[in-house]
Amino acid sequence: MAEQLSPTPAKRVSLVSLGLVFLHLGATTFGGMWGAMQRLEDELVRRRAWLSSEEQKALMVAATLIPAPKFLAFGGMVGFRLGGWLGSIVSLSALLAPPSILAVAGVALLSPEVIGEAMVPVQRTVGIAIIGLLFANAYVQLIASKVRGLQWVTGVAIAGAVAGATLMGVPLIVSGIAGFAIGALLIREA
Amino acid sequence: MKGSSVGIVEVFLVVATSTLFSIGGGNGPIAFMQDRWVSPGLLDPSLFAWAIALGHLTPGPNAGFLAGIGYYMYGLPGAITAAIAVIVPTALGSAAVTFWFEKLQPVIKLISLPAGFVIAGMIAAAAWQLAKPMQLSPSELAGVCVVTLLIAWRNLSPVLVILGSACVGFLLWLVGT
Repeated sequence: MAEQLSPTPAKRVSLVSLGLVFLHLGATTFGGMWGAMQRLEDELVRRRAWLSSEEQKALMVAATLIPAPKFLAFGGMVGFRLGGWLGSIVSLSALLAPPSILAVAGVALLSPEVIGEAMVPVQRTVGIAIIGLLFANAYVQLIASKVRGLQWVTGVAIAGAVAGATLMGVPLIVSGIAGFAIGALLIREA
Repeated sequence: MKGSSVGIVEVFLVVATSTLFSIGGGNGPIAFMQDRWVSPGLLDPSLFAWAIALGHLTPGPNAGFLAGIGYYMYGLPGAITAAIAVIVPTALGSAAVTFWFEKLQPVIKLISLPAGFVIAGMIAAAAWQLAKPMQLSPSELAGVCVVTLLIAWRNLSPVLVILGSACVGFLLWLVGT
């Protein structure tokens, strides 16, 4: 994979093309990076031939290792390979623009002040759904781990300790970093 | 509520830092922002949840909700700042991994293995802290459990859950009027 991630790209692409393609992808894909995998392959591999199929897969895996939203990390790496730093910034901006604009329009326009009182129960029930979604996400994070056995139990204990410490008033960034440090010491093997 | 006590620099710093908690997937940024803005009372929990929901309903990366939260905190400049705050660390991380993939791989692996557990703990705490000020009734708590089960065990799409919950809210409003 290291060879496939060589920073030297096979070709250079104009920033305008890069921006337009990622703007289109940002406006028409759903389900995050993995959900958009087929669309990405159609656009970047088959139609534009900017990447090989192997490069695309390598970049998608590498994107999961970057401390950033995966889909954006993928876009940033593709942009960087094809257009350097500017290409990375253009790709990221174009990919993030559609959801950001729609989200801002949503929070500005879909509010009780604009729509009326109907939005109050809607926002509450959606809030309840989001709480459920977060608990489910926490559960999925635990069971999706690659480690097993005693290491997994240790991981669950670390998760409990991070949650407990945060709920007892320890700043999240402190409990999070402590969790990462202890986890890195105790959880070593996949 | 909208930027009354939070500056544009804080919007940038909090969103940029929260982005770093995306490692391992999941909703790490949500936990961090919940801790910095919702828990201290700077952002209403229902507005926070609403922005997250919109992030799921919009196309492209789910991170679009961060601009919505930036808007709540500091209006349109806050939204733009939040978007920039996502782009900057992501661009740096993308370049670093592209350049130094081999060298960074052991370090990334070391962090990635426990990341899921740490993020799980952070998200669970965020969900609890989001629920607490909403003072949920028993039927609403049951709703939380149903949603958790549907997504965790039945792998139901969050989009469907959010749209469904919005329909339930609208029906409740119709019944109540």
